[in-house]
Amino acid sequence: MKSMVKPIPSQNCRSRIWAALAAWSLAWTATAATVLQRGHVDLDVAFEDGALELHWHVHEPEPEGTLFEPEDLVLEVGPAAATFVPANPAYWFLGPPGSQVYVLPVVEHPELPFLGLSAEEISPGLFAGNQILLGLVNATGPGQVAVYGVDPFGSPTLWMYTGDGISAADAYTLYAGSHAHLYWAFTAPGSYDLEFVARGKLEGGSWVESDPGRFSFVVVPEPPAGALGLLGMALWLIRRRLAT
Amino acid sequence: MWRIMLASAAFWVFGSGWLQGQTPVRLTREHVDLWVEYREDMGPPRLRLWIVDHDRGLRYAPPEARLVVVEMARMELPGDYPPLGQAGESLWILPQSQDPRLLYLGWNAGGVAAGAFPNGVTVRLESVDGPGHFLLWQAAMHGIAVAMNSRDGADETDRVVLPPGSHSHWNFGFTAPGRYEVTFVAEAVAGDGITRETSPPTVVYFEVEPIPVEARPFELWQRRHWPDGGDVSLVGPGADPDGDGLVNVVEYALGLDPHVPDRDRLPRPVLVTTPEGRKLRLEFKTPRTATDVQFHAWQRPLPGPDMPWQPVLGPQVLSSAPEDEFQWLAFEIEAPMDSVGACLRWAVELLPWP
Repeated sequence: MKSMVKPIPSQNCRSRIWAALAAWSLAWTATAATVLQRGHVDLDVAFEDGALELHWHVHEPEPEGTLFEPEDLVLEVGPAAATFVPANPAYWFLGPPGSQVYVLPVVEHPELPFLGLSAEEISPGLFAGNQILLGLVNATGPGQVAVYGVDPFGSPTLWMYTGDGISAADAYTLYAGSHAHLYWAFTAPGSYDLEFVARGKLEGGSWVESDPGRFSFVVVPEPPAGALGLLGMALWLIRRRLAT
Repeated sequence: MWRIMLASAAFWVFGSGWLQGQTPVRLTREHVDLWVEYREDMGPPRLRLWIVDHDRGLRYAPPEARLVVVEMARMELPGDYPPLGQAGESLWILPQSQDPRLLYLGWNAGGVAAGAFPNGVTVRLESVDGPGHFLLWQAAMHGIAVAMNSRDGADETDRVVLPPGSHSHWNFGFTAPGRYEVTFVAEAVAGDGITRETSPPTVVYFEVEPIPVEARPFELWQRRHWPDGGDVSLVGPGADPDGDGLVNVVEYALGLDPHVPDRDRLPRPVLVTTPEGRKLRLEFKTPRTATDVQFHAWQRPLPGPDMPWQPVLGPQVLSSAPEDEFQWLAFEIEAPMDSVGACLRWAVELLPWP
């Protein structure tokens, strides 16, 4: 878990506009990876043949769902995720109050991925305390990323945060056979790569660790009004030229 | 003439007791959902609520499960959070964010196919029966959103709307320890805008610990008849203060008066003719509140001092309207025409409590 006493990060307005345009255009670009825009999906930790493994687990089709290697899926955080940072100082890590942030919530939203962390495929009794530690080991992207929970009174518990550097504190404990939902916040539009490693101590006493898994997210805001206007103009011109 | 012998009723204190049906499963730390299911292929009701244990992949009808809120779920409110409560007040909370020490409880409409109900399934709070109040809310960066609150009664505003296939976790709060029966009703309107589906009122059972120890019914009977208390030789289960040969636990179990000799009100077996043949029936009434006693009976044919006693199944319930103060029970044994008679012995057992 992260310390809750941190400085407020600053943001560059112009770079956010370019990042927004880039992210919006990326959403229309064909990629080798599958892009998931909605539905229940877990960042899944499994234990196979004595090794911990990381996957995406998309919960469709039911009941088994579909597994993806980390690099084979991109999670799209669409415009419905946009919200503003509250004046509550407990949320300092999201940015200045009133600034825009993109948050995947713990309540399923029809236009967003419903992202969870899962160790459901790991049988209880294999790991000490049935605990598996999922640690963030690397992150790239145009903004900061925060993974947090909220207590019954609205106060956050910060589990992972890239704004103060990445350390062993950027981790969340999963329990074998169970899964959890946390808030995933991104402070700017664009593409993010988050690299995780899962570690656990077997009941026999030895530690096992997964290979790093790189999980990609693309934050897609509403297209800027100007960009929509330009696109519309371009399409009109193309159509007119084809007609002549 | 058919001979009947009825041994005096005896009593046992703290006997082995009987298992009254299946013991509900206690769910304490699992990932559990209140699961809404819609089965178009079934007759009404097609909407139902279930308890689903995701950790074990098991599903329960709500009466089969007890959702336990352990004592460590108790929190003191750190400030004023209306309508949850005021600073310093206690609230037992199953939180929306997983705490491995607590039950992780959510709502799940995974049993409702996409497109079945364009406006989702509405789950209403119908009633709360318990020692305190029930609250359901979510907390996020922009504050607290309360969906259900029994402090101001249960009405149309106490509800959650679940999109088909959706899953969400909530804070479940209780203001006092004890047993709660929280009744929900699920409702939905199909795509034609006319067809309405409604689940039966479904009671979900919560146990908020520590469960207060309730005075056993026999103790309440003792206090009623001896308000000033008394020595065990007077008020104890084996005492016979009115000297009529019926000890106190028998007086209690049969709804008699321990201060008045009333041995003549002791039930007597009679011969009855039934479609299955002649029977010897012992009919008696017992107060509905006497839930901590159990009746037993045995039979053996006459003559038969050397014959072993055989247990008699029952007692059967003859009448048990909830509004009646008493319920009528009976033991029955065969009384064939070619037999000489039978001996029936019966006893009252005072069960362990709780």
